[in-house]
This record gives sequence, C-alpha cells and structure tokens, in this order.
Amino acid sequence: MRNFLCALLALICFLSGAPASFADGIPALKKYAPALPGYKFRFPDDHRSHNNFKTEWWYYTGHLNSKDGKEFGFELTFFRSAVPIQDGVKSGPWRMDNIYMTHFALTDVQQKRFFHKEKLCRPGLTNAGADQLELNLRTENWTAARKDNAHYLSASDGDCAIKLRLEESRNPVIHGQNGVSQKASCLGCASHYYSFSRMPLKGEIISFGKKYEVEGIAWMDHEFGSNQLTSEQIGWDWYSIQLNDNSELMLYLMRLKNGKFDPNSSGTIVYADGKTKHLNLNAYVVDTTSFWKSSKTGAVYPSAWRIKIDDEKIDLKIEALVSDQELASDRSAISYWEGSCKVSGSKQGKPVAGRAYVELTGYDKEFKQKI
Amino acid sequence: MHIRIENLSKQYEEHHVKALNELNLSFEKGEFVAIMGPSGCGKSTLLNIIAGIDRQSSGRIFIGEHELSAMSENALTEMRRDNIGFIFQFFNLLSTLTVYENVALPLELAAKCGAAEIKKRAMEMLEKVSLAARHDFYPSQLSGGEMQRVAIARALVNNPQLIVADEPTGNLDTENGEQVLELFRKLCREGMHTAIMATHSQEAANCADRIVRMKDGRILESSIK
Amino acid sequence: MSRVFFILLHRFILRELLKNRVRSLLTVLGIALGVAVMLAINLANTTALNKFQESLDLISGKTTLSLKARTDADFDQAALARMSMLWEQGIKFTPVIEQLAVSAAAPHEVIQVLGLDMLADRDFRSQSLSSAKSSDYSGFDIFRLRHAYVGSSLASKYGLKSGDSFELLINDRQEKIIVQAVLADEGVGRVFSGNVIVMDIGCAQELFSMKERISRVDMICPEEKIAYISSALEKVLPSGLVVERPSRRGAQVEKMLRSFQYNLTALSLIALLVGMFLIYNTMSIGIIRRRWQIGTLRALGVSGPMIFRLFCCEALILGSCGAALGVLTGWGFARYALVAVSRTVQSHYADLPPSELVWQPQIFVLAFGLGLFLTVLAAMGPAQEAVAIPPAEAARRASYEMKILGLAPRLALLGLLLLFLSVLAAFQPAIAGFPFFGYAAAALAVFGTAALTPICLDSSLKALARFLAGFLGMEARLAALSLHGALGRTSVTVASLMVGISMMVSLAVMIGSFRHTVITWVGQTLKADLWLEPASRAASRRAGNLSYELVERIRQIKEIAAVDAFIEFPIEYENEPCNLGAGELDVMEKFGNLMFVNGEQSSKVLSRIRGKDSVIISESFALKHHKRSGDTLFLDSLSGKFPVKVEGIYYDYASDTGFIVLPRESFLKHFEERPATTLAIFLKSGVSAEAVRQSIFAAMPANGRLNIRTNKELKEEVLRVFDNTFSITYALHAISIVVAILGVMNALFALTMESRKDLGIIKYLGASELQMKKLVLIQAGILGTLGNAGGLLVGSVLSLLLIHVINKQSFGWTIQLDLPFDFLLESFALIFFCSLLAGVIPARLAAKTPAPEVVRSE
Repeated sequence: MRNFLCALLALICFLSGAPASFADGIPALKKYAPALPGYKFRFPDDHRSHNNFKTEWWYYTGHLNSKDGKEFGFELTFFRSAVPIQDGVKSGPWRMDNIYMTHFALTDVQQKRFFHKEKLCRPGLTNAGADQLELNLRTENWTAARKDNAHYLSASDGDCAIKLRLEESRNPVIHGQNGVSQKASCLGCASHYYSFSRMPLKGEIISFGKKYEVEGIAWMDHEFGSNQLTSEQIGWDWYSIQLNDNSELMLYLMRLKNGKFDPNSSGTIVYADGKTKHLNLNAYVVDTTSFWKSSKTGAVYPSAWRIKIDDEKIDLKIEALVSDQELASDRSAISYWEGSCKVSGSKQGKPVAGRAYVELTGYDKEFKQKI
Repeated sequence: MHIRIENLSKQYEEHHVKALNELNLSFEKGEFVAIMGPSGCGKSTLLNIIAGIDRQSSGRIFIGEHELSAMSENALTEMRRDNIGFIFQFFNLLSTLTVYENVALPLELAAKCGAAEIKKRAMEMLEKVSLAARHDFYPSQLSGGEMQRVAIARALVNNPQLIVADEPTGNLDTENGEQVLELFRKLCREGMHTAIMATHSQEAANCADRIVRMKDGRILESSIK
Repeated sequence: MSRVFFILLHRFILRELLKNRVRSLLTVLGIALGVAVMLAINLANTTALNKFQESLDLISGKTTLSLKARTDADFDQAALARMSMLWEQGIKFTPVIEQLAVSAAAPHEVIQVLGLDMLADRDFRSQSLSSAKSSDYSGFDIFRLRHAYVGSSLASKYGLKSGDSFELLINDRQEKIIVQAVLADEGVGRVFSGNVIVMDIGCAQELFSMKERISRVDMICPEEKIAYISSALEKVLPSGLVVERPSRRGAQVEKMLRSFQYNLTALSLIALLVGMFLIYNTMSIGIIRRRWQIGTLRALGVSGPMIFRLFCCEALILGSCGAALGVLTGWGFARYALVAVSRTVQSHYADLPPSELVWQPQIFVLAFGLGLFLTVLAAMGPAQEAVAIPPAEAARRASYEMKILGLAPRLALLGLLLLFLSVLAAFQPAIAGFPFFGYAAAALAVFGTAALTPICLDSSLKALARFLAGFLGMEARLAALSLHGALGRTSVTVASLMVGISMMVSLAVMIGSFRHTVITWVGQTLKADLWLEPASRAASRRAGNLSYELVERIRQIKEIAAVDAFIEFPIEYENEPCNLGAGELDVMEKFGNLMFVNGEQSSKVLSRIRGKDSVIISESFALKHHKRSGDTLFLDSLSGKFPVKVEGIYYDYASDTGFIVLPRESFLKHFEERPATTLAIFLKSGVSAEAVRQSIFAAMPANGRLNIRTNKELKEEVLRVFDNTFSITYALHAISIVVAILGVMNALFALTMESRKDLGIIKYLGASELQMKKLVLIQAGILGTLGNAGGLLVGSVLSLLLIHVINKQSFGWTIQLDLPFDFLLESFALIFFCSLLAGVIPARLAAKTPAPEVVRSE
C-alpha cells in the first residue's frame, strides 16, 4: 500500500488548507482506469509511468554500509498523481495533468540521525516528470532512471545526498493475485503492484556533510492504480523485510476505524530461489512490543514488533534502528514514520537476521482527525 | 471760563463707597486752584468729570453756559478738544511721536488751522517751555522734567480755557518739580487759563490761588490764600 | 524649578496669555495650521510609500533574489530551463507574473494580479484562505482557467464570495474570473492592500494573453551565495535579464517619488515657517509692551535667566497648545492629503495600493516636536531681548523703539548679505536630484527681506505720513507716524505679513505659470484627431496595452490617414528609472508637432531620426542625466547595450521621470516586439471624428474595452490630470492664504491692542471716536498694504526660485513665467480687506476706550 494516501492527502490539504472529498459526477473531474484483476505485467515496459491511472509511485528503500563499518538507511520515493480537472491549461509547462511529489530520507544509524525532505512539483519546463516509455523519473534535481538492468538514483539537499547504482539481481515480484493487489473489497479498490525485493547497490552518499562510499541492498516498489481506498481505513503498517538467508517478506496491514484490520490486508513471501507465495491476513500475526512518541507531532508509533507466520515457521523480532525516523511534514500537516529496522529471529527453526523498512501511517493525530 | 458744580456725585458700579458725594464747587475764570487730599479721596475722578472724560452719577456741572451732562459724546469731545488741556503725573507723551509731533497733535486733531499755522504755534509753544531745540527728539530721549514741560506745552498749545493737571509734579524731584510748577503757573497766568491741579504736595498747593481739601469724596474746606 | 518661577509663570505669563485671549488664540491657530499641514503631508507621504513598500515586501515574501528583464518588461519563460543549476545549490526558484487589472464595475479600482505557481509558491509567500472554497470542487480548482483567489478588501468592496464571477478590464478587453476563495488578510492576501487577485501562473498567462512569458523569477538564496549566484546566472542567461535583490524595486520607486515627496515636505514646512513668524511677532510685541513690567521684576530681584525661562515657557505654552491642536487637525487633514498624494503618485509614478491612514506615532511626535522646537526657537530672540532689559527700565518707557532704529542699518546690511547668499544659492546645482540650494535660496530671500524691512519702513513710513496726510487727513499722518515711532513692532508685523503673503503669491504664480505652460504645450503638441488607449489605462497608466489584431483592424479603417502606435514602458537608465517610448516617428513627422527646447521645427528633427538608431529625449530626462543634443546614450536591449544618438530634446510635462523615444524600426531591431499602449490617430480631412470613433467601436471584439478621446477631450483630460496632480498644491495654497490672513489679523490686533494707552491719551487730547476709528483703520490699512507690497515682492522672487530653480531641478520642466494678475489682484484685495477687518475690532475698542483707566493703568 505504501504511503499513497498520505501523499494524496498531503497534497490536497496543502492546496486547500482543508480536507476535500472526491465526489463523483462533477464534470470538471477526469475519469481514470481502475486496477482490475487480470492485468498482465510486461517487463521492462511496466517500469514506465502509466498515466491512464490516477496515481503511481516508484519507491526505493535500502540499507547501506560504508567501508569503515557505518550503517545507513535511505528512502527515495517518486509519486505521480493525476490532477482531476479538465478545464485547466492544456499544454505547455504550466499544464496540470500530473503533479509529482518526492520524498528523500537518510538515516545515519550510528549517529542516530535522520534526514528527510519533500519536493512537490508540476511539470514546469524541467521541474518534474515521469517518462511514459521507460523508467525515467525526475523532480527537480532528484532523479531515478533505469539503464541496462540497473537503476541510477540521485538526490541531494543541503548536507545530505545519495548517488547510487542498484542492480536488478532477480525478476520482479508481482504482489497480490491475478495482477492486482486488493486494498479493499470493492472492485477496482486495488493497485497493480510489483517489487524488486533485493537489489544489490553501490555508490556514494553524503550524510550530514560527510561523504561515504557505500554498498548494500535496496528494495524497489512500483505501484499504480486509481481508486484504492475506503473511508473506513484510517492508516496502515507496511513491512519490507530482507533476511540474511536471501529471502524477503512483504506484509501490509490496513487498519480500520473499528480497530480491526481490513481482511484485504496481505503479504508476499519471496523465497531464496525467487519463488513467491501470497499471504492472506489470516496467515500472519503482527504484535507490537514497543512504542515511541514523537516530540514533534505528538504521534505515538509502534517501534518494535513480533511477526509470526506459523505456516512458514517464521518468528521475527523487528526493532527500529533509530527511534525518530518520522517524516514530519512542515507543510502538508500529514506525517508518517518510515524507517530502517533490524530483524532477528528464527525461520524453519534456524536463526535468521536481517534488515527491514517499516512504514507506519495514520498515527499522527491530525491525520486521524482529518480522515 | 466760569465752572460751577452742583451736588455732584459719582458712584462706580464696582465700589460701595461713593467716589464723589454731593459736591458743590465753583471756579472763576483765570483762577489757579489746587485740590488736595489723600489718595482715593476723589481728586482724579473730579478732574476727569470736569474734563468730560468721565460722567457723573448725579448732579450737574456748568462750564460757561454749557451743562456737561446734557452734552452728547461728540459735543463733549469737541469741547474737550477745544477748551481743555491735560497734564498727567506720568507725562503721557506718545512715545512713538517726536516732541514736536506730540505738541502739534491737539492742533491737528482740532483741524482748525493749516499746517503752517500748526507748525508756527507748536514751535512757539515749545519756545515757551524752552524745548524748541529738542523738537525732533523722542520722549524717551528726554528727562522727566523735560517730558513734563512738553506735556505742558501740549496742554496749552490750542489755548484752552481750562487746564486740568493731575499730580503734575508727582513724578519729579523737588527741583524739577518746582521749575515745572513755576512754568505751568506762569503760562496759565499769561494766557488767563483756568487751572485745576490735583496734588498731594503742600508745596505745590502753596502756589495756587485757592486750595480745596477733599476727603472721601467730600470737600473739607476751601480756603483762599 | 523654584516656586518663584511657577508663581511668576502663573501671574506674569499665564494671566497675560488669558487676558490677551484673541491674540493668543490667533497665534496658537497659526502654529496649529503649520504643524497640521506638515503632519498631514508627512503622514500622507509615508503612508503611501509605506503601503507601497509593504505591498512590495509581501509580493517578495521570502524572496532574496529576483531575475527580471532590464526593461521591466516580461520575458520568455525559457530562461527558467537555464536555471536548473540552482537546484544543485539547494536554491528554490519560482516564476511570477505581475499584472494590473481594473475592476470593470465601479469603482474602477486598480487590482494587482499575481500569477504564481500555486504548487510551489508556499515556500516563497504565505497565503491562506479566509473562506473555504466552494465545497463542490477539489483542491485543484485553483488550477482551472479563470479561477482565482481574491483579496479580502476586493471581496468586501465588490461583495464577492466563493463561486461568484467578477468582471475585469484587462488590457483592451473585459474578462471574467471566477472567485475560488477569498484570501485571508495576511501574506499575499495583503498585497496591494488586499486589492489583489492570485491565480495559478498558467491561468494568468492565458488571461493576460502573455504566451510563454513571465514577469520575474523569484529565488530564495542564502545571503552568502547571492554574489556567486548572481554572476553565475548572468553568465548563462541572456544579457537583457538581470538578477537583483527585491528591495531594489522599492528603492527605485522611492527614487522616482523622491523629488515629489521632498518638495511637498518642503512646501509644507513653509507653513511652519510662517507660523514661526507669527510666534516671533506675538512674543516680541508682548515683550516690548511689558518692558516696564520686566524692568520692575528685574528690579525686584528676578534674575535674567529666570526672565528668559519665563518667556521660553510662554513660547512653550503657546507652542504646545498650537502643536497639539495642529497634530489633531493634521490627522484630519491627512485623509485628504493622502487622497491627493495618492492620486498624484498614481497618475505620475507608480500604482499605489489603496491605503488608509495608519497611526504613526513617530510622525506625530516629530510634528509636535518640530512645531514646539520652532516656536521656542522663534521665541529665543524676543526672550533674549527681555533678558537684556535693565532693572532701571522700570522707571523709563519707550526706549526700545529707538534701539531698532539704531539697529536698522546693521540689520539692512545683514539683509543684503542674506540676499546676496540667496542669489548665490539660486545658481547652485541640485544635490542628488533635490534642489537643496533652491530652498536655501528661498529661505535666505525671506530672512534677507525680513532683515531689510526696518530700514525700508523707516523711509517709507515717513513718506507715507506726508503722502497720506494729503488726502486722508491728519489721522493718516498720525497713523503713519505712530507706526514709524514703533518701528520695531511695525517691522515685525510687516515682515510676518510679508512672509505669509509671499508664500501665497509664490504658489499662485508657480501653479498659474505651470498651468499656462501646460495649456500652451498641449495646444501646440496634441495634434492627433483621436487618441485611443485600453480601457484599463483609465485607472492606471501602467495597466494594459492594445492587442496587435485590434491595431491592425483600426489601421484598415479607410477614413484614417495615419496611426501612430506608441509603445511605452519603464526602463532604467544609469540606474535611474525612466520610460522608453517607441513611436512611428514618420507619422509624427508628417502630422504631429513636438516642441523642441532649441526651437527647432518638429518635422526637421524627426526627419533626421528616420531609419537611424537615434532618439529624442524629454527635457526632464535631459536635465536629470545632463544630456544634450548630439550626445550618445547606451540603452540596454535583450542582446546587450547599444548606442543611440540624441537628436533633440523636447518639452514634455506628462512625466518627470523622463522619456527616451526611439523610432519604431530601431525599437524592433533591438527589442522584442510588444503591443502598443496608445494610438494617435490622424484622420483624412473632412472626416468626422465621432464617426471614426464609432467605426473603431464596431471593429472591436464584443468584450473589447477602449477609451477613445477626441483632440478636445484629450486636452480637457490633460488639464483635469494637471489639476488633480496639483490638488495638494492647491490645498497648500489655500492654507497659505489662511495663514497669511491669520498673520495679518494677529499682527494688527496685537499692534492696535498694544497702542491702547496711546489711544487713551489721544482721547484726552480731544480726539473724536470717529478720528480714533479712522486712525486705527488707517494703521491697519497701512500695515496691510505694506505687507502686501512686500509679500508681492518676496513672493515674486520665491516664485522665480520655484519655477526656475526648485521645479526645474526637481522635475526637469521648463515653466514659462505667467503672472496670474487676476488672482493676485483678488488676493491683494482680500488681504487688504482682511487687514481692515482685523482693524475693526481694535478700532471699536479704541473708540470706546475708557481713557482714564488705560492712561492711569501704570
């Protein structure tokens, strides 16, 4: 699910200063293609931007290690959101067909420091864009592009920067069933969703003014759809876990107003050999074992978990590497937590360890009120 | 000119006491009368009423044939201009005019003669008070005695029948005072002017033909020397 | 201060002031008026400028650096693509469109329209909405064409709310916008005092038909990088663009307004100066009168410094009453002053946001303090005189009058020296565009003539005494002689009359001459049969232009012999704001007529320019930049500087910022084509202007909005604008008349009241009531006449300074001296009448003087 809703709401709230609902039947609004079962992914073509869908994002997270043993986490996410108006400027740089939002975050594990920044752009002359032919993304000077089975990421702001080369070490993992990852029960309340769950990377970063050569592994998500949410959903928790036995695990939990999880919550397990298995909500259990309270927003986030998948004999402890990895937004008034975590536990009776990225949305008080 | 005062009273609105109380008095033509009395006895009020500057509350004053209270303001002014000369304790020369201009002023106000005549008479008058040489001085350039001599010249220049002098020596030292008084008396005699002089001073009063003593608006005695 | 001081203050000063109520009141009024005028003008000036500055600051927001065209025009947005290096530097930048529109509905107010990137602009400017948007739409509605946020003051003036449509005059068209929401009264919502419309940049481009063009690029650049970034950008961008700090805009406008505002302030100070004379007059006469009392006090052991303090206190009391009253009335005047100042600035310099008076304590304190200070300063001389009175004075009288007579020659020498200095000053150049020396010359002339007054009066009063005695009788002689005897008081009185009247005269002559000059100029230069401008220009000279299509259509009308499509826009020359114009000078050559400073024939000069990179410049430009015919100017074009030769200097009274006019061909060679701002249309002979006007209206699209004026209407319009521009000067003029009359009344009243004792004596000497009335009235008449004569003289000198030095140096306009005889005659009569009127009360009093009391008063 990632933080699609977060992005959208942030955008709308920023623009209007008030919540807005998307009512149907208003002539000014455009119609978009829904994500329907039966979709056939084609690679590398589907890495491109799908402008017939309303929203789309390319999501990179990763765990980095410098030669001198320092550990870092990064996030670089490109969102595209189609603007649902028809009587705007039709052409030229000021047309408003899509807007682009990008989040860039860097975690310095040893220093326990967290950097994050957001950009929100219209196409402009060269401001932002997502290519409809190939993977080529830009918001201002933050870019992601694919060439010869490698993804090149570049972002910098102030005294933090990344310049990384990510390799497609295995085939993309398609989540959900029959080409759709269902988010709610209604038809079309879904997205087309695939990941590169293990991408070895190399490159250099600048973390708070200091430059490091780094290596590590990254995770890339690409998801697109048009109408995935219901008003009952107040937020979600999302986990991307990379274990040292060369397997990965993706889980998401849609939290409902009534305190329960949406039955459409699901996950995918990726075995060391690249095979995958879809997990329904009843296949896994997530318990929160610790909390952290943000001093900036006052939101209380889970900060440690125990995840059990009985069928796979998986029992994992997940802990945030740095407590404060909250992307507290100064202008959208919507904040979320997205951070690098360490993983330990057992799988099939053998001890395993690893790293994870966890995304927690809807914990910010204001967000709850607004939804 | 004969002056007769009958039952003259003056009551100022703001005072309780009468300034003049049922006064009866007469002055003969050419007579030089001194009116003596303490401050506030009514000397100056009497002089002002005789001169037509002030009006009585009751009683009558005859100057020659005319009864003052029956006269209009204009007639009074005319009478004052043509028949009465004034001398004051503080000289009251017009500081903005020269000695000559001060003396010539009554003639000019009367407008009875031409410029040449005015000049002639004013200069003659200045000769008489021995100040012709200083005719183009301003009053501030003169001594007190000289200023009072100019004032005498001004009072006499249009040959009035009555001269009213209010403490003419009051602001002068003894020597100057005697000289001025002597001159005043001499000129009055020469011109047969009736003179009424209010004074504190016995010395000054001594040179008068008659002394009238007043107190609290009444006449105490009238004695001929 | 000792108790004695307060006892003396109470008995000697306060009682005296109360006793002479009328005179105290007149004096207080005089000071009050001076302070009020100064306050009002200062308040208006600063309010207008502050509001403007505030609006600019709000428009700039957090911007620290801006990219703009050197010509102040819009430019191709392609420049943005070359700025991507800034992202690497972490520097944000965003394009801005700034335009003016005018409300189609009355009142036709000027509205600032901002086209912003509504997605990115939050980083630059704060904006919030006071009302929620119409709830039907999503947050993206602001990106819909014609949709806009409107400022709260605009919304309240025209009763706008979300969803309403609002008609605007944009260039030569009327366009509709849809109100998305009303902006809260903060940040961008306060731009132009809330007379603002904010749209997305794309929509603004469409609405103003400015395809692919933007007004500015704003950047947020940290201070330490500004120098580096500026030079780096200028390397990659076309040379017609320039990077500058946003504060520079305000500074440029301030520069443009400087002359106007300084001159207004200086004129307002004249009223205070007259107030000073009033104080001096009152105080010195009061002290002369009380010499005897002062002498007595001194004899009783009151020290000299104490006397000085007492009189300073008197001045302080008068001054503070006057200043306090002035501050209060000034606040009232300020509203009108603001309207007048705004109107002038609006029609000549820059579009001002509507502004309301803001309580500015510092200006109130300044005005009050200055009023008080000048009052006390004016009282210093008389107070010093008072100190110099020896105790022996108690026994003497009237010695002061002699002293002034002795001093007269020395004063006269001083006066001559001051006049000489005045002449020297008159020939000095301006300092930084402000005629400092011109005003110094004016002040020196006033003080010089004042110092010459005693010696002039000494002889003239004697002569008058002789002369008047001839037909007004001895009272006239006496009156003149008394005045002569009291030469000190008389001089002070006449001098203060003179100052007041001279201010009135000089303003009258200046305005009259200017108006006459403009009428002549208009008559000779406005030759076109029809003048056409976009409707939006009616509200603002800087709003709008004519579409190319319309101009072409008009050219097709067969009754038209020729059209001069004039393009006008602001530029900078040597860092000074001025205007660049481009016209079809061949049409001007054939049909028009400009007046050239050297008297050359218009067509001859224009024929020399034809087809060349040559220009004609307006007189004010020539004076400001010291340019002569034959000089070369270097103008900034998009591709760098290019030289042009000055072929002629023409008279122009429409702008003091100056004009450079290029022939159209040369303009097109160096600049991008831009739409015309005005059209001068010459008709074929025998064609009715009205008929052509109708054909033009017919050729116009349905939403077209134009102002078309016939030659006669334009001439009337020019004069209307002139009168509007001078409304504040007219007001100052009116006030100067009031001050002059106050001065006359005060002085005469004082003088006659002070001579009551003398009048009493004269009464003893047999003067009739009629004679006394006549005496006093003649005295008043003499003073009035002398003050008038002196005022006329000094006023003429001042008006010469105003016209040939102050105005010329400030605005660069040659004004032909033209004496408004009828006005001068009327005002002469008015002042004379007022003098007599001022004499009436004292004359009555004098006639009724109870002689014994005054004479015996000592």
